[in-house]
This record gives sequence, structure tokens and C-alpha cells, in this order.
Amino acid sequence: MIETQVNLGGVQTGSPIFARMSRKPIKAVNESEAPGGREPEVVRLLGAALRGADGRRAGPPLSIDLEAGSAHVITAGPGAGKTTILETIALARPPYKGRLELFGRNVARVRPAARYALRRRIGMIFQDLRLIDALSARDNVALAARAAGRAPDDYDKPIAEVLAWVGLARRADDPASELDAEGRGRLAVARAVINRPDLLIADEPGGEAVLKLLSDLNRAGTTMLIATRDAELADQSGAEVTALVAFR
Amino acid sequence: MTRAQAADGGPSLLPGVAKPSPWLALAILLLSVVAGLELVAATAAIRTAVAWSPRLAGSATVAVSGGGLESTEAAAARAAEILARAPGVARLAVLDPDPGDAVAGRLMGLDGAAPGADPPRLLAATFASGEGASAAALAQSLRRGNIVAAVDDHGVWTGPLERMAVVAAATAAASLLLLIVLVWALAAGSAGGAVRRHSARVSLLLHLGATDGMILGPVSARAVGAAALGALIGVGAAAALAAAAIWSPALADWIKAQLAAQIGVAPGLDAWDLAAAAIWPPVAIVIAFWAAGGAAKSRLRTMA
Repeated sequence: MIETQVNLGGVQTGSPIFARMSRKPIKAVNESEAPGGREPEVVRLLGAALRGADGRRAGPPLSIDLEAGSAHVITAGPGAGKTTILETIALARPPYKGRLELFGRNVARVRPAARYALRRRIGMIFQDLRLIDALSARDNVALAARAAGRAPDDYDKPIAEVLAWVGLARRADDPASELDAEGRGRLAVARAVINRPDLLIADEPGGEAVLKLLSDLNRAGTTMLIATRDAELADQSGAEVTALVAFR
Repeated sequence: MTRAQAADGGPSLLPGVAKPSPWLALAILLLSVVAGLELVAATAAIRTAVAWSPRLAGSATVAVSGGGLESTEAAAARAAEILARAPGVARLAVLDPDPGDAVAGRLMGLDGAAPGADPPRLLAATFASGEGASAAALAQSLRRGNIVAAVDDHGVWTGPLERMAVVAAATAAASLLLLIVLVWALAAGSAGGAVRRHSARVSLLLHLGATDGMILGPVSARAVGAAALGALIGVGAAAALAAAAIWSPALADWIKAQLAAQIGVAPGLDAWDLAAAAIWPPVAIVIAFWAAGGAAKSRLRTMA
């Protein structure tokens, strides 16, 4: 049976990682329950049936609201559609039907230039990280800045600061391939935040160091949307949790 | 470690993609040799037809033979008087006798000459444009003056010339269209392949906020560079071949023999005809740019 299970409120136990994350509400409801007339949210998914990688409809209509500065966790088993949700919100694919609003704008109606601008307000940490192994840590981060249209004069100093913040200042010139798993995770965070995103999306982030960085970012005001199959982590996060059950 | 850098020292978004594709350049080079030769040959044919048709159509050749007691010379003199008064004749010249005049007269259908008579004399009449003069009108005037004569309107020459021009223009247009389609297909295939080969990087860049233009720029540059390289070298080779035909009599004769077998009349190449080949490189470059951009954009739509 296909259904969307909603878990509002999350777990209240103090989390060692997300203890200080904000606890603004998330709602994930069926289409018929989609809320209306709310203040503009960072993300507003209204009755959206999502489109899988094969282009076909994947799952029942889903509605999600994310307030600015909040942190949210979507949890489900492998293949349940977590990545599809994240990629839809990151504008990598349109919803099959329904409506997606980002920062108060209906993405179906924005022109390409505005779409690029919306995309640049979102930082993404991929499940497989998608680092360029042949590039140095600095250049991996620089690539994100260049893709956002920034010039070296504009990004050189911020990159040094971000790499220092994630703990990779001394490894800045090392190829990404020479970093260990934790270092690669840190680098992925650095690349995701170099353009100062308003929304940070993390697909299966792993390692305490990375989760600590995400927690710090959220405390600094970055809206956070995290997908994980680790139900325990989700429960301990202290963030609002959406549990997807048998999404496909 | 591969650390492809952009001109400003930062990492290149798509390293190596903007470099012209060698196989695309080679394919366009081969097509460009054909296109260059086609343009030169078509230009020569059309130029020949355009230059000669009006000259031939605006004049007539008259062969006059003596009849009865009248000598050929006397008949030619009388014919010259009649034709000089004919409406629309701007200029009339009695041509110097030539051993080939007898053959020319027979080819023009001159009959009625007395057996054993002198060879016919030829007259050349040039018509004033727009005054209605024609070979038929001249023949009628001469008949009225009881002169044995044949008038040739040069249709035997203008027909093949006009056919040659039409065939050359049609062949050039069709083959250029085919070559344009081939360049389009090659450039589109190359661009689509480049995006496909770098799909992981392209997908990442789109996620990171890159615009379509940032991706399309290097992909289009790859096709445009190859088209420019291939077209310039190919057209240069075609021009060199054509130049050899102009300045090498043996080669020119061979080409004329080939062309004559195809269309009946062989145009002579002129040095200015070579300039026609210069049309091709800009055409190939523009087509490659459009095709590569379109194909790459279409592929991006499926990725973003």
C-alpha cells in the first residue's frame, strides 16, 4: 500500500548534534490537506506528485512547508524517494503535478534567469558528494563559485575562510581524491555553502563532523532540509521529522 | 593530476570541451573541399551563361549565297543594304571570307545555292535592344529581296548555355543544401556527444547554479572552432585545385572535357571565380554554431 506517513513534532530528546537546531514546524500532508494562505515559506510544496529519474510519477501527492531558519529531516528506507523530493526542491526536476514555491515564487512561472537565481540560493550536499577528484579542495569549492557566476577576486578570500571553517585550510591544495571520508564530507559542505545559500539540502549526510557543521549553519540562520535513512539520527536530531513510508 | 584552469586562473567549468573536435574538423574539411569546388564551378558556369547569352541572343549571323546570275559577292552587298535598313538592326558587318564559311553555311541550313557557286559570305547583325528585331524578321526581309540566305539566331549555342547555367545553379543549390544538412548533423552530433560524455560534470554544474549559457558556450565553441578550421582548410584546398585548373592548361582541358560530357558546354574558369568559395566558411560556422547550441540545449533540458 502506498501512503505518506506524517510525523509532526519529532523527538524532543536532547540531541548531541542538532540540540540547538531551531524547531520551526514542518507539515507533510496529503493534497486534500494542503494548507493555504500562509506567509511565504522558503519551500512550499503543494500537492506535488513527484517525478522520478525515469520521468514517471513517483508517489502520492505531497505537501511540505519549510519556514525560514528551520531544520527538517525526511527519513525513509532506501529507494523510498527521499532523493526525488530533494532534487525536485533543488529544481533538478519539475514536479509531476502540483505546485512548488521557493522563497515565495512559483517555480513553474519563473523565467530562466530567475530560475538560475533561485538555484543559487540553494546549497546541495549530494549523497555521493560529487566531488571532482582531480581538482584540489580549493578548486572544488571554486567550481561552485564560478558556476554561480562569481569571479576569482570575489571568491578567493571566502573560499579560504570556508575551508578554514570546515577544517581543511591545510589541505586546500590537496586533490579531493587524497582526502579521507570525513575530509570529503567537510569539502562537500564547504562547496555547498560558498555561495551563502538560504536553503541547504543534504542527502544522506554522514559523519559527526559534517552533522556538526550543518548544525552550526542552521544556528546561523540557514534553512536546512536533510534526508536520511537513519531513523535514529532523525529522532535524535531534535528537528522536525517527516517519515516517508513505502513512498513508491 | 589534471587541473584544467580558465584564463583567470580559476578551475575551468568544462575543461577541454571548448577545444575544437578533430574528427569534426576533418569531416567538415572534406565537405568543404566539395563545397568550395561546387561554388567555383557553379559561379563559372553561371558567369559564362550570363555573359554570353545576351550577346548571342542580341545578334544574328546571316549566310548569303549567290543565285541565278548574281554572284555571291553581289548578293552579299545587296543583303547588307537591305539589312542596314531593317528596323532594329544597330550594326551590320560583312565578315571577311574564311575557308570555314562553306561549312558554316551548311550548318546554318543554307540551301538553294547554285551548284559550284562560290562559298557563302557571312554577315553579323547586332540588334538594338527593345526595338523588336529578330532573326525571323531579317530572314523575311531577305526573302522579299530575292536573296538566297540563311539567318541563325544562335539558338544552337544559347540553348546549351542556358541549360548549363540552370543545371549549374540547381546542382550547386542542391549540393550546398545537402552539405549544410551534413554540417548541421555533424555539429549537432558532436555537441550532443560532448554533453553526454561530460554529463556528470554538467549535471553538477547545473545543480551548482550554472546557467545554460555557461554550458553551451564551450560546447558551441568546440563546434564553431572545428567548423572554422575545417572550412578554411577545405575551401583553401578547393581554391588551390581550381587555381591549378586555371593556370595548368592540361588540367583545364581535362576538366572541360569532363564538363562537356555532362552538360554540352564547358565554361572557362576565371581567377575571380575562386572568390565564390569564400562564401562557404561563414556559412559552415553559422550552421555549426546553431546546430551545436540547439543540440546541447535540447540535451540540457533532459538533464536539468
